[in-house]
Amino acid sequence: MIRLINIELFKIVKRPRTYIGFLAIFLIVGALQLAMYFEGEELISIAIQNLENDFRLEGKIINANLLTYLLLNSIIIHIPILICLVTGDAIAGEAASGTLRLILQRPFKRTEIYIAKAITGFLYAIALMVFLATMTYGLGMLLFGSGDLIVLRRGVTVIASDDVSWRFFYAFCSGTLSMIVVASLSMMISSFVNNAIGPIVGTIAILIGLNIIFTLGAPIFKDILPYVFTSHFIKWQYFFDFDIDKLALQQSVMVQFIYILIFNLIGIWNFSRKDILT
Amino acid sequence: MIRWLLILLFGFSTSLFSAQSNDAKKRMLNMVGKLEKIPPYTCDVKINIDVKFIKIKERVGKMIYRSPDDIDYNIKGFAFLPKKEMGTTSTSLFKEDFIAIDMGKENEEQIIKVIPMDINSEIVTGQFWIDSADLIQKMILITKDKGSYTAEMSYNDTPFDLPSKISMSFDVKNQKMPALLTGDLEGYADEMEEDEVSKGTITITYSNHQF
Repeated sequence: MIRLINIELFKIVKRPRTYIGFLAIFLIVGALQLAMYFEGEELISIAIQNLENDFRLEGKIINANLLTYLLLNSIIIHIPILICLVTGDAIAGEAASGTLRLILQRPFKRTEIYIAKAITGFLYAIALMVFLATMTYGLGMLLFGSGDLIVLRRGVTVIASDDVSWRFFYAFCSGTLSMIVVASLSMMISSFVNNAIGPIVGTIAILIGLNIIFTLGAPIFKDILPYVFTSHFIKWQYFFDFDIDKLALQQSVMVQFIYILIFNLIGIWNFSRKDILT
Repeated sequence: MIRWLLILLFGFSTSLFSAQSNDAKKRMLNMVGKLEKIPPYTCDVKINIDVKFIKIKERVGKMIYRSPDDIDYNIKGFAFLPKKEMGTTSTSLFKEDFIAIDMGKENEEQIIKVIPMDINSEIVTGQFWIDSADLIQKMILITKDKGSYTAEMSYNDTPFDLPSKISMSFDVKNQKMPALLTGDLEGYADEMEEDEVSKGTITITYSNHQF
Protein backbone atom coordinates (compact mmCIF):
# COMPACT_ATOMS: atom_id res chain seq x y z
CA MET A 1 0.00 0.00 0.00
CA ILE A 2 2.80 2.41 0.90
CA ARG A 3 4.42 1.64 -2.44
CA LEU A 4 1.16 2.48 -4.19
CA ILE A 5 0.83 5.71 -2.24
CA ASN A 6 4.41 6.62 -3.14
CA ILE A 7 3.66 6.02 -6.80
CA GLU A 8 0.54 8.18 -6.62
CA LEU A 9 2.46 10.89 -4.80
CA PHE A 10 5.13 10.76 -7.48
CA LYS A 11 2.44 11.23 -10.14
CA ILE A 12 0.95 14.18 -8.28
CA VAL A 13 4.34 15.82 -7.83
CA LYS A 14 5.13 15.42 -11.51
CA ARG A 15 1.81 16.85 -12.68
CA PRO A 16 1.96 20.62 -13.35
CA ARG A 17 -1.69 21.14 -12.32
CA THR A 18 -0.73 20.14 -8.76
CA TYR A 19 1.04 23.47 -8.40
CA ILE A 20 -1.90 25.50 -9.67
CA GLY A 21 -3.48 25.18 -6.23
CA PHE A 22 -0.38 26.40 -4.41
CA LEU A 23 0.13 29.21 -6.92
CA ALA A 24 -3.52 30.26 -6.63
CA ILE A 25 -3.33 30.32 -2.82
CA PHE A 26 -0.10 32.28 -3.01
CA LEU A 27 -1.73 34.84 -5.32
CA ILE A 28 -5.06 35.01 -3.42
CA VAL A 29 -3.37 35.40 -0.03
CA GLY A 30 -0.74 37.80 -1.37
CA ALA A 31 -3.30 39.96 -3.19
CA LEU A 32 -5.67 40.09 -0.22
CA GLN A 33 -2.95 40.89 2.28
CA LEU A 34 -1.47 43.61 0.08
CA ALA A 35 -4.95 45.05 -0.49
CA MET A 36 -5.51 45.04 3.27
CA TYR A 37 -2.10 46.62 3.83
CA PHE A 38 -2.92 49.58 1.60
CA GLU A 39 -6.72 49.84 1.82
CA GLY A 40 -7.51 47.70 4.85
CA GLU A 41 -8.61 50.48 7.18
CA GLU A 42 -11.23 51.70 4.70
CA LEU A 43 -12.45 48.18 3.91
CA ILE A 44 -12.80 47.26 7.56
CA SER A 45 -14.47 50.54 8.43
CA ILE A 46 -17.25 49.62 5.99
CA ALA A 47 -17.85 46.41 7.93
CA ILE A 48 -17.74 48.07 11.34
CA GLN A 49 -19.40 51.34 10.34
CA ASN A 50 -22.31 50.76 12.70
CA LEU A 51 -20.01 49.90 15.58
CA GLU A 52 -18.06 53.09 15.06
CA ASN A 53 -21.28 55.08 15.41
CA ASP A 54 -21.79 53.82 18.96
CA PHE A 55 -18.27 53.16 20.20
CA ARG A 56 -14.79 54.49 20.13
CA LEU A 57 -12.66 51.54 19.00
CA GLU A 58 -9.23 51.37 20.63
CA GLY A 59 -6.54 49.12 19.22
CA LYS A 60 -5.37 47.56 15.99
CA ILE A 61 -8.17 45.78 14.12
CA ILE A 62 -6.22 44.58 11.10
CA ASN A 63 -3.67 41.98 12.08
CA ALA A 64 -2.47 38.50 11.11
CA ASN A 65 -5.24 36.85 13.13
CA LEU A 66 -8.06 38.74 11.42
CA LEU A 67 -6.61 38.06 7.96
CA THR A 68 -6.18 34.37 8.72
CA TYR A 69 -9.78 34.25 9.88
CA LEU A 70 -11.02 36.06 6.76
CA LEU A 71 -8.99 33.83 4.45
CA LEU A 72 -10.23 30.69 6.15
CA ASN A 73 -13.61 31.56 4.65
CA SER A 74 -12.10 30.67 1.28
CA ILE A 75 -12.53 26.98 2.15
CA ILE A 76 -16.21 27.36 1.32
CA ILE A 77 -15.64 27.65 -2.45
CA HIS A 78 -12.10 28.57 -3.52
CA ILE A 79 -10.02 25.84 -1.91
CA PRO A 80 -12.48 23.05 -2.92
CA ILE A 81 -12.07 24.12 -6.56
CA LEU A 82 -8.30 23.84 -6.25
CA ILE A 83 -8.58 20.42 -4.63
CA CYS A 84 -10.93 19.15 -7.35
CA LEU A 85 -8.38 20.06 -10.00
CA VAL A 86 -6.11 17.31 -8.69
CA THR A 87 -8.40 14.76 -7.04
CA GLY A 88 -11.00 14.89 -9.82
CA ASP A 89 -8.29 13.96 -12.27
CA ALA A 90 -7.00 11.02 -10.23
CA ILE A 91 -9.02 8.26 -11.89
CA ALA A 92 -10.88 9.93 -14.77
CA GLY A 93 -7.66 11.57 -16.01
CA GLU A 94 -5.92 8.22 -16.15
CA ALA A 95 -8.96 6.65 -17.83
CA ALA A 96 -8.90 9.40 -20.46
CA SER A 97 -5.18 9.05 -21.13
CA GLY A 98 -5.38 5.24 -21.15
CA THR A 99 -2.94 4.68 -18.28
CA LEU A 100 -5.71 3.26 -16.08
CA ARG A 101 -5.63 0.00 -18.04
CA LEU A 102 -1.90 -0.26 -17.41
CA ILE A 103 -2.29 0.32 -13.68
CA LEU A 104 -5.06 -2.20 -13.32
CA GLN A 105 -2.93 -4.85 -15.00
CA ARG A 106 -0.49 -4.61 -12.08
CA PRO A 107 -0.86 -7.20 -9.29
CA PHE A 108 -2.75 -4.90 -6.94
CA LYS A 109 -6.35 -5.05 -5.93
CA ARG A 110 -8.52 -2.31 -7.34
CA THR A 111 -9.58 -1.40 -3.81
CA GLU A 112 -5.94 -0.87 -2.86
CA ILE A 113 -5.35 1.30 -5.89
CA TYR A 114 -8.43 3.39 -5.11
CA ILE A 115 -7.47 3.76 -1.46
CA ALA A 116 -3.92 4.77 -2.43
CA LYS A 117 -5.31 7.39 -4.80
CA ALA A 118 -7.75 8.60 -2.14
CA ILE A 119 -5.01 8.85 0.52
CA THR A 120 -2.85 10.78 -1.94
CA GLY A 121 -5.77 13.11 -2.62
CA PHE A 122 -6.23 13.61 1.12
CA LEU A 123 -2.54 14.37 1.53
CA TYR A 124 -2.82 16.93 -1.24
CA ALA A 125 -5.82 18.55 0.50
CA ILE A 126 -3.88 18.62 3.79
CA ALA A 127 -0.84 20.12 2.03
CA LEU A 128 -3.00 22.87 0.52
CA MET A 129 -4.52 23.70 3.91
CA VAL A 130 -1.09 23.75 5.60
CA PHE A 131 0.16 26.04 2.83
CA LEU A 132 -2.90 28.29 3.26
CA ALA A 133 -2.32 28.47 7.02
CA THR A 134 1.39 29.15 6.66
CA MET A 135 0.89 31.78 3.98
CA THR A 136 -1.92 33.66 5.70
CA TYR A 137 -0.40 33.62 9.15
CA GLY A 138 3.24 34.00 8.07
CA LEU A 139 2.67 36.85 5.63
CA GLY A 140 0.11 38.40 7.97
CA MET A 141 2.59 38.45 10.85
CA LEU A 142 5.22 39.97 8.57
CA LEU A 143 2.95 42.73 7.28
CA PHE A 144 0.63 43.42 10.21
CA GLY A 145 1.87 41.64 13.32
CA SER A 146 -0.32 39.97 15.92
CA GLY A 147 -3.29 41.41 17.80
CA ASP A 148 -6.71 40.67 19.23
CA LEU A 149 -9.06 38.95 16.82
CA ILE A 150 -12.40 40.58 16.10
CA VAL A 151 -14.92 38.07 14.84
CA LEU A 152 -18.04 39.55 13.26
CA ARG A 153 -20.18 36.46 13.66
CA ARG A 154 -23.40 36.43 15.65
CA GLY A 155 -22.59 39.91 16.83
CA VAL A 156 -19.04 40.84 17.69
CA THR A 157 -16.60 38.63 19.57
CA VAL A 158 -13.18 39.90 20.57
CA ILE A 159 -10.64 37.18 21.31
CA ALA A 160 -7.34 38.07 22.98
CA SER A 161 -4.24 37.47 20.86
CA ASP A 162 -2.92 34.91 23.36
CA ASP A 163 -6.14 32.91 23.09
CA VAL A 164 -6.33 32.44 19.32
CA SER A 165 -3.57 29.95 18.44
CA TRP A 166 -5.39 26.84 19.64
CA ARG A 167 -8.60 28.07 18.02
CA PHE A 168 -6.86 28.45 14.67
CA PHE A 169 -5.26 25.02 15.05
CA TYR A 170 -8.64 23.34 15.54
CA ALA A 171 -10.27 25.57 12.89
CA PHE A 172 -7.69 24.48 10.32
CA CYS A 173 -8.16 20.85 11.37
CA SER A 174 -11.93 21.24 10.92
CA GLY A 175 -11.39 22.95 7.56
CA THR A 176 -9.02 20.19 6.46
CA LEU A 177 -11.64 17.57 7.32
CA SER A 178 -14.12 19.45 5.11
CA MET A 179 -11.59 19.51 2.29
CA ILE A 180 -11.13 15.75 2.64
CA VAL A 181 -14.89 15.43 2.12
CA VAL A 182 -14.47 17.44 -1.11
CA ALA A 183 -11.55 15.25 -2.19
CA SER A 184 -13.63 12.11 -1.49
CA LEU A 185 -16.58 13.48 -3.47
CA SER A 186 -14.48 14.35 -6.51
CA MET A 187 -12.67 10.99 -6.32
CA MET A 188 -16.02 9.24 -6.27
CA ILE A 189 -17.29 11.20 -9.31
CA SER A 190 -13.92 10.60 -10.95
CA SER A 191 -14.49 6.84 -10.71
CA PHE A 192 -17.73 7.17 -12.69
CA VAL A 193 -16.47 9.05 -15.73
CA ASN A 194 -13.70 8.79 -18.28
CA ASN A 195 -12.80 12.43 -18.77
CA ALA A 196 -11.12 14.69 -16.23
CA ILE A 197 -13.37 17.68 -16.76
CA GLY A 198 -16.49 15.87 -15.53
CA PRO A 199 -15.42 15.30 -11.90
CA ILE A 200 -13.93 18.78 -11.57
CA VAL A 201 -16.97 20.60 -12.97
CA GLY A 202 -19.36 18.12 -11.34
CA THR A 203 -17.90 18.58 -7.85
CA ILE A 204 -17.76 22.37 -8.17
CA ALA A 205 -21.35 22.44 -9.46
CA ILE A 206 -22.52 20.33 -6.51
CA LEU A 207 -20.68 22.53 -4.00
CA ILE A 208 -21.87 25.81 -5.46
CA GLY A 209 -25.41 24.52 -5.92
CA LEU A 210 -25.67 23.26 -2.35
CA ASN A 211 -24.13 26.44 -0.98
CA ILE A 212 -26.58 28.64 -2.87
CA ILE A 213 -29.63 26.54 -2.04
CA PHE A 214 -28.83 26.26 1.63
CA THR A 215 -27.63 29.82 2.09
CA LEU A 216 -30.62 31.43 0.42
CA GLY A 217 -33.14 28.86 1.54
CA ALA A 218 -31.79 28.16 5.02
CA PRO A 219 -35.19 28.64 6.76
CA ILE A 220 -36.89 26.17 4.38
CA PHE A 221 -34.20 23.49 4.62
CA LYS A 222 -33.20 24.03 8.24
CA ASP A 223 -34.21 20.49 9.24
CA ILE A 224 -31.99 18.77 6.70
CA LEU A 225 -29.21 21.35 6.83
CA PRO A 226 -27.23 19.53 9.56
CA TYR A 227 -26.99 16.47 7.29
CA VAL A 228 -25.73 18.29 4.20
CA PHE A 229 -21.96 18.22 4.05
CA THR A 230 -21.52 21.75 2.66
CA SER A 231 -23.18 23.19 5.76
CA HIS A 232 -20.24 21.81 7.77
CA PHE A 233 -17.65 23.73 5.76
CA ILE A 234 -18.16 26.73 8.03
CA LYS A 235 -18.27 24.85 11.31
CA TRP A 236 -14.65 25.87 12.00
CA GLN A 237 -16.12 29.27 12.86
CA TYR A 238 -17.55 27.70 16.03
CA PHE A 239 -14.04 27.57 17.47
CA PHE A 240 -14.15 31.36 17.65
CA ASP A 241 -17.18 31.51 19.92
CA PHE A 242 -16.81 32.33 23.62
CA ASP A 243 -18.87 29.30 24.57
CA ILE A 244 -17.89 26.62 22.12
CA ASP A 245 -20.76 24.34 21.12
CA LYS A 246 -18.86 21.07 21.52
CA LEU A 247 -21.87 18.93 20.67
CA ALA A 248 -22.40 20.70 17.32
CA LEU A 249 -18.71 20.27 16.52
CA GLN A 250 -18.73 16.58 17.45
CA GLN A 251 -21.80 16.06 15.26
CA SER A 252 -20.12 17.97 12.45
CA VAL A 253 -17.01 15.77 12.63
CA MET A 254 -19.19 12.66 12.70
CA VAL A 255 -21.32 13.74 9.72
CA GLN A 256 -18.22 14.59 7.69
CA PHE A 257 -16.56 11.27 8.53
CA ILE A 258 -19.72 9.46 7.43
CA TYR A 259 -19.67 11.38 4.14
CA ILE A 260 -16.00 10.53 3.62
CA LEU A 261 -16.81 6.87 4.26
CA ILE A 262 -19.88 6.85 1.98
CA PHE A 263 -18.15 8.66 -0.91
CA ASN A 264 -15.14 6.37 -0.72
CA LEU A 265 -17.21 3.20 -0.41
CA ILE A 266 -19.26 4.18 -3.47
CA GLY A 267 -16.05 5.08 -5.26
CA ILE A 268 -14.40 1.76 -4.38
CA TRP A 269 -17.53 -0.18 -5.32
CA ASN A 270 -17.77 1.55 -8.69
CA PHE A 271 -14.02 1.42 -9.36
CA SER A 272 -13.95 -2.30 -8.60
CA ARG A 273 -16.51 -3.01 -11.32
CA LYS A 274 -15.32 -0.33 -13.74
CA ASP A 275 -15.13 -1.53 -17.33
CA ILE A 276 -11.67 -0.84 -18.73
CA LEU A 277 -11.98 -2.98 -21.82
CA THR A 278 -14.28 -0.80 -23.89
CA MET B 1 -59.21 92.11 40.41
CA ILE B 2 -58.48 88.72 38.77
CA ARG B 3 -56.06 90.42 36.37
CA TRP B 4 -54.09 91.93 39.31
CA LEU B 5 -54.06 88.56 41.03
CA LEU B 6 -52.66 86.85 37.92
CA ILE B 7 -49.95 89.50 37.51
CA LEU B 8 -48.96 89.07 41.17
CA LEU B 9 -48.88 85.30 40.88
CA PHE B 10 -46.80 85.42 37.69
CA GLY B 11 -44.35 87.89 39.22
CA PHE B 12 -43.95 85.77 42.37
CA SER B 13 -43.42 82.50 40.47
CA THR B 14 -40.90 84.08 38.06
CA SER B 15 -38.80 85.47 40.88
CA LEU B 16 -38.90 82.12 42.72
CA PHE B 17 -37.98 80.16 39.59
CA SER B 18 -35.19 82.60 38.77
CA ALA B 19 -33.74 82.30 42.28
CA GLN B 20 -33.76 78.49 42.15
CA SER B 21 -32.12 78.51 38.70
CA ASN B 22 -29.37 80.84 39.83
CA ASP B 23 -28.45 78.62 42.78
CA ALA B 24 -28.47 75.50 40.65
CA LYS B 25 -26.49 77.20 37.90
CA LYS B 26 -23.93 78.43 40.41
CA ARG B 27 -23.53 74.93 41.79
CA MET B 28 -23.11 73.46 38.31
CA LEU B 29 -20.56 76.12 37.32
CA ASN B 30 -18.62 75.44 40.51
CA MET B 31 -18.47 71.77 39.63
CA VAL B 32 -17.31 72.50 36.09
CA GLY B 33 -14.66 74.81 37.50
CA LYS B 34 -13.51 72.01 39.78
CA LEU B 35 -13.33 69.63 36.81
CA GLU B 36 -11.28 72.10 34.78
CA LYS B 37 -8.77 72.51 37.63
CA ILE B 38 -7.84 68.82 37.56
CA PRO B 39 -4.17 68.58 36.54
CA PRO B 40 -3.03 66.08 33.89
CA TYR B 41 -2.72 62.57 35.26
CA THR B 42 -2.42 58.93 34.32
CA CYS B 43 -4.19 56.01 35.92
CA ASP B 44 -4.82 52.30 35.44
CA VAL B 45 -8.17 51.37 33.96
CA LYS B 46 -10.22 48.20 33.81
CA ILE B 47 -12.91 48.19 31.16
CA ASN B 48 -15.89 45.86 31.21
CA ILE B 49 -18.52 45.92 28.55
CA ASP B 50 -22.03 44.59 28.70
CA VAL B 51 -23.68 44.87 25.29
CA LYS B 52 -26.05 42.24 23.95
CA PHE B 53 -24.13 41.53 20.76
CA ILE B 54 -20.56 42.12 21.95
CA LYS B 55 -18.53 39.43 23.68
CA ILE B 56 -15.27 40.68 25.09
CA LYS B 57 -13.36 39.94 28.27
CA GLU B 58 -12.21 42.63 30.69
CA ARG B 59 -9.60 44.91 29.21
CA VAL B 60 -6.86 46.61 31.21
CA GLY B 61 -4.67 49.54 30.35
CA LYS B 62 -3.77 53.11 31.14
CA MET B 63 -5.70 56.32 30.77
CA ILE B 64 -3.86 59.54 30.05
CA TYR B 65 -5.86 62.62 31.04
CA ARG B 66 -4.66 66.00 29.84
CA SER B 67 -7.91 67.98 29.83
CA PRO B 68 -11.61 67.08 29.65
CA ASP B 69 -11.30 67.25 25.86
CA ASP B 70 -8.02 65.37 25.62
CA ILE B 71 -8.15 61.87 27.07
CA ASP B 72 -6.14 58.99 25.63
CA TYR B 73 -6.19 55.31 26.39
CA ASN B 74 -3.38 52.84 26.13
CA ILE B 75 -5.17 49.51 26.26
CA LYS B 76 -3.59 46.08 25.99
CA GLY B 77 -5.29 44.67 22.91
CA PHE B 78 -8.56 45.85 21.51
CA ALA B 79 -11.26 47.66 23.46
CA PHE B 80 -14.62 49.30 23.03
CA LEU B 81 -14.90 52.68 24.69
CA PRO B 82 -17.79 55.08 24.92
CA LYS B 83 -18.05 57.21 21.81
CA LYS B 84 -17.61 60.33 23.91
CA GLU B 85 -16.25 60.60 27.39
CA MET B 86 -18.95 61.63 29.79
CA GLY B 87 -16.61 64.32 31.12
CA THR B 88 -16.08 65.73 27.65
CA THR B 89 -19.76 65.57 26.82
CA SER B 90 -20.89 67.13 30.06
CA THR B 91 -18.33 69.95 29.99
CA SER B 92 -19.34 70.78 26.42
CA LEU B 93 -22.85 71.21 27.81
CA PHE B 94 -21.59 74.05 30.01
CA LYS B 95 -19.43 75.80 27.42
CA GLU B 96 -22.37 77.81 26.11
CA ASP B 97 -25.04 79.52 28.16
CA PHE B 98 -27.51 77.19 29.85
CA ILE B 99 -30.45 77.10 32.20
CA ALA B 100 -30.16 75.09 35.39
CA ILE B 101 -33.31 74.08 37.24
CA ASP B 102 -33.38 72.65 40.71
CA MET B 103 -35.63 69.59 40.51
CA GLY B 104 -35.63 68.85 44.21
CA LYS B 105 -33.99 66.05 46.15
CA GLU B 106 -33.81 62.29 45.83
CA ASN B 107 -32.03 60.23 48.52
CA GLU B 108 -30.27 63.33 49.87
CA GLU B 109 -28.97 64.13 46.40
CA GLN B 110 -29.90 67.36 44.68
CA ILE B 111 -31.25 66.91 41.17
CA ILE B 112 -30.37 69.65 38.72
CA LYS B 113 -31.69 69.74 35.20
CA VAL B 114 -29.55 71.59 32.66
CA ILE B 115 -30.87 72.85 29.35
CA PRO B 116 -28.50 74.48 26.87
CA MET B 117 -29.61 77.79 25.42
CA ASP B 118 -28.15 76.96 22.01
CA ILE B 119 -30.90 75.35 19.94
CA ASN B 120 -28.26 73.55 17.82
CA SER B 121 -26.57 71.95 20.82
CA GLU B 122 -25.97 68.20 20.42
CA ILE B 123 -27.13 67.67 24.01
CA VAL B 124 -30.79 68.49 24.37
CA THR B 125 -30.90 68.25 28.13
CA GLY B 126 -28.94 66.85 31.05
CA GLN B 127 -29.88 65.89 34.56
CA PHE B 128 -27.40 65.61 37.42
CA TRP B 129 -27.68 64.00 40.83
CA ILE B 130 -25.30 65.78 43.19
CA ASP B 131 -24.59 64.72 46.75
CA SER B 132 -23.81 66.88 49.78
CA ALA B 133 -20.05 66.64 49.09
CA ASP B 134 -20.62 68.24 45.66
CA LEU B 135 -19.93 64.97 43.84
CA ILE B 136 -21.94 63.97 40.81
CA GLN B 137 -23.41 60.56 41.62
CA LYS B 138 -25.41 60.14 38.47
CA MET B 139 -26.13 61.98 35.26
CA ILE B 140 -28.37 61.49 32.29
CA LEU B 141 -27.73 63.24 29.02
CA ILE B 142 -30.28 63.28 26.22
CA THR B 143 -28.72 63.91 22.84
CA LYS B 144 -30.25 64.94 19.56
CA ASP B 145 -29.14 61.97 17.46
CA LYS B 146 -27.50 59.37 19.69
CA GLY B 147 -30.21 58.67 22.22
CA SER B 148 -29.59 58.96 25.93
CA TYR B 149 -26.50 58.37 28.05
CA THR B 150 -26.63 57.53 31.72
CA ALA B 151 -23.56 57.53 33.92
CA GLU B 152 -23.29 56.42 37.51
CA MET B 153 -20.18 57.23 39.49
CA SER B 154 -18.53 55.77 42.57
CA TYR B 155 -15.84 57.53 44.58
CA ASN B 156 -13.16 56.40 47.00
CA ASP B 157 -11.16 59.39 48.17
CA THR B 158 -9.17 59.87 44.97
CA PRO B 159 -7.60 63.37 44.89
CA PHE B 160 -9.56 66.07 43.06
CA ASP B 161 -12.74 64.09 43.70
CA LEU B 162 -12.15 61.86 40.71
CA PRO B 163 -14.47 58.88 40.41
CA SER B 164 -13.07 55.42 41.02
CA LYS B 165 -15.68 53.82 38.81
CA ILE B 166 -17.99 55.05 36.07
CA SER B 167 -20.75 52.93 34.66
CA MET B 168 -22.10 54.30 31.40
CA SER B 169 -25.32 53.08 29.83
CA PHE B 170 -26.40 54.12 26.38
CA ASP B 171 -28.53 53.03 23.45
CA VAL B 172 -26.90 50.71 20.94
CA LYS B 173 -28.28 49.44 17.69
CA ASN B 174 -27.98 45.77 16.83
CA GLN B 175 -25.05 45.38 14.47
CA LYS B 176 -26.20 43.23 11.58
CA MET B 177 -23.37 42.86 9.15
CA PRO B 178 -23.46 41.44 5.63
CA ALA B 179 -22.72 37.71 5.61
CA LEU B 180 -20.35 38.20 2.69
CA LEU B 181 -18.14 40.30 4.93
CA THR B 182 -18.45 38.19 8.03
CA GLY B 183 -18.62 34.71 6.52
CA ASP B 184 -21.54 33.97 8.83
CA LEU B 185 -23.72 32.02 6.43
CA GLU B 186 -25.77 30.22 9.03
CA GLY B 187 -28.62 32.71 9.09
CA TYR B 188 -28.32 34.59 12.31
CA ALA B 189 -31.14 36.90 11.25
CA ASP B 190 -33.62 34.76 13.18
CA GLU B 191 -32.03 35.56 16.52
CA MET B 192 -31.94 39.34 16.49
CA GLU B 193 -33.90 42.00 14.71
CA GLU B 194 -31.93 44.40 12.59
CA ASP B 195 -31.78 47.93 14.01
CA GLU B 196 -33.14 46.65 17.32
CA VAL B 197 -32.07 49.14 19.98
CA SER B 198 -30.88 47.82 23.30
CA LYS B 199 -29.07 49.24 26.31
CA GLY B 200 -25.34 48.81 26.50
CA THR B 201 -23.16 49.42 29.53
CA ILE B 202 -19.46 50.16 29.74
CA THR B 203 -17.95 50.12 33.20
CA ILE B 204 -14.55 51.71 33.70
CA THR B 205 -12.71 51.26 36.98
CA TYR B 206 -9.91 53.74 37.68
CA SER B 207 -7.00 53.18 40.06
CA ASN B 208 -3.40 54.15 40.70
CA HIS B 209 -3.75 57.83 39.80
CA GLN B 210 -0.48 59.63 39.18
CA PHE B 211 -0.62 63.41 38.86
